[in-house]
Amino acid sequence: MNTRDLKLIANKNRQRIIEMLYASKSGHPGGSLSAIDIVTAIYETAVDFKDKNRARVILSKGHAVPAVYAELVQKGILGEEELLTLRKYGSRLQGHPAVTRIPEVDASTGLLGQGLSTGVGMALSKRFRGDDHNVFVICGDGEMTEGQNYEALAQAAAMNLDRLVLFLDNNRVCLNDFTDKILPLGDLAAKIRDFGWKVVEIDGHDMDQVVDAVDMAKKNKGKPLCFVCRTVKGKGVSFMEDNPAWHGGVMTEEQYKDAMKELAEQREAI
Amino acid sequence: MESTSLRDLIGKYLAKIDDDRIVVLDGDIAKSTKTTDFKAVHPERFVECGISETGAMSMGYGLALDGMIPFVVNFTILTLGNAWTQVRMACYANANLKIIGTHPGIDNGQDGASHHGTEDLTLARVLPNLKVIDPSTPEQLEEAINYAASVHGPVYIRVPRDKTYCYGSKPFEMGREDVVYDNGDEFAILYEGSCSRAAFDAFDALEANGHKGKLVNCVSIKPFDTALVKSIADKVKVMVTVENHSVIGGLYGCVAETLASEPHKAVVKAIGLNDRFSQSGTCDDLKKEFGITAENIAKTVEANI
Repeated sequence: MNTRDLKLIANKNRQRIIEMLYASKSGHPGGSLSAIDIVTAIYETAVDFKDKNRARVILSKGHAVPAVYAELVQKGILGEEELLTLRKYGSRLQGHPAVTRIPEVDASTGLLGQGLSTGVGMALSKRFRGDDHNVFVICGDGEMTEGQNYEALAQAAAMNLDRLVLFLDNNRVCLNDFTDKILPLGDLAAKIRDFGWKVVEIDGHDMDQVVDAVDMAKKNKGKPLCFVCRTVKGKGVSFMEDNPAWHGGVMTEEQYKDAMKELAEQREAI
Repeated sequence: MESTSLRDLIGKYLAKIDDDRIVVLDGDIAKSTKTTDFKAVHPERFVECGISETGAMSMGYGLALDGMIPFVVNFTILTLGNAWTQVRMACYANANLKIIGTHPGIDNGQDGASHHGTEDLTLARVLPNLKVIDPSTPEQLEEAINYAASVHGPVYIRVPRDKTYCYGSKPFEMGREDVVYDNGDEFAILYEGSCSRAAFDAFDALEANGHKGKLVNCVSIKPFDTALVKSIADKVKVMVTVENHSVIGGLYGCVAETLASEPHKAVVKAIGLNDRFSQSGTCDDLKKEFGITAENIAKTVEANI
């Protein structure tokens, strides 16, 4: 698939995120929009749901699950209209990934800091089973303040789990404020590298770079691999961008229309 | 009667299972949990996680989601305690994760209350999908481990460190308690795990004093054998629960919740830790402090017959 097609899918996924979050009147637009280019590239270029031993994706920052639901529509796993049931009673589309409701989400997640360890276990399982596919874990920079992540970083490096790939959605914003104002972590790339990982910094909204990253992950040998992705919280909807208020904000009808108009204009420019 | 520490058998029984999906996750504690015996036979499937209880539990969850059968083995306080939300996430996913907790209750005597797993049954029982097994004989431990390896879904096994009697238990069946003696309808002693010796000795003392009753080894904590417990409560005058655990939410909780919704003949008396932290001391010292002794059990029965 060429980059232009992937950009069109990512744009469509952004529209889906806005549609479902406007319908649910609850949820997390900022972190879903910052992760969507990464999510789109991983699923579109590395995940084949027809393959039993396929690559798997763990969304550790589970509150960004609208990004995954949007992409699961693109992959034909969910129906377009089903998105409007997000977070509603009786829906399969729980507020955070629930593998018993939708097996294709690969892991129930949402309690921050646990997903990378789950990925370590899954990558270890793939080694035991002789399955060469990747395990992609998507973490937010905000959740890197959770201590369990550092257990996982050490364990993955100690075991040379080269099928494990961490995409760090480094949008620099968490719930209350900018991440650096909440609890500064310094140079995350340097820290992760110091644990023994291979670390590459990329622009998490540059589709060429993200696709190259996924390709690099497929061929990776030796050390576990981390992409620290420069991203913008709320990317694509200007009034949400880089604004902690849109970690979990609810759109008015006017804001919804503005967001959809802006995304439609971006589509025209692709 | 011969007695043994079931903790010594964990690694041996795990190693015997002929299934290369079995993986044992350790947290720098294998010498204490005796998973060294598994490592000696299957080093390639022994995973040293380091001192990392939450990481190891989530790692087990990930292994389970991808088709392996992970056993996370560590102290009860470090499994259901330290890693409770990680266990809960695996239960929410109904993942095929197996957990073995050793040194339960005050069995880790001299380490003191920080290391005493006196709440794990409560913390385990409240989790949907999680099965909870509390063996007190070598046969029950081996059968519990084999059962956990063969059934899909999360299972927690609580393994005594203190010695328990090898009384020749009946074959383990999930959801069934083992009625050791059924000699009369005056009383029933229901015990779990490492309260085995105190419960047996109390039963013998009561028999010697001419009292006829029942002795029940509560090996299946969840699902709990509610039909059995209700039928006993309709016959005897007093039931005494004996647990190496807080009486809040543990075995007494199982029995009280089973019986509370309808009238029964028996009163139920609890022996265990009653909303108090323990302290350092030998296991015997501490069991005496909390009344987990043959004398106190017999006295409690006789006071209520």
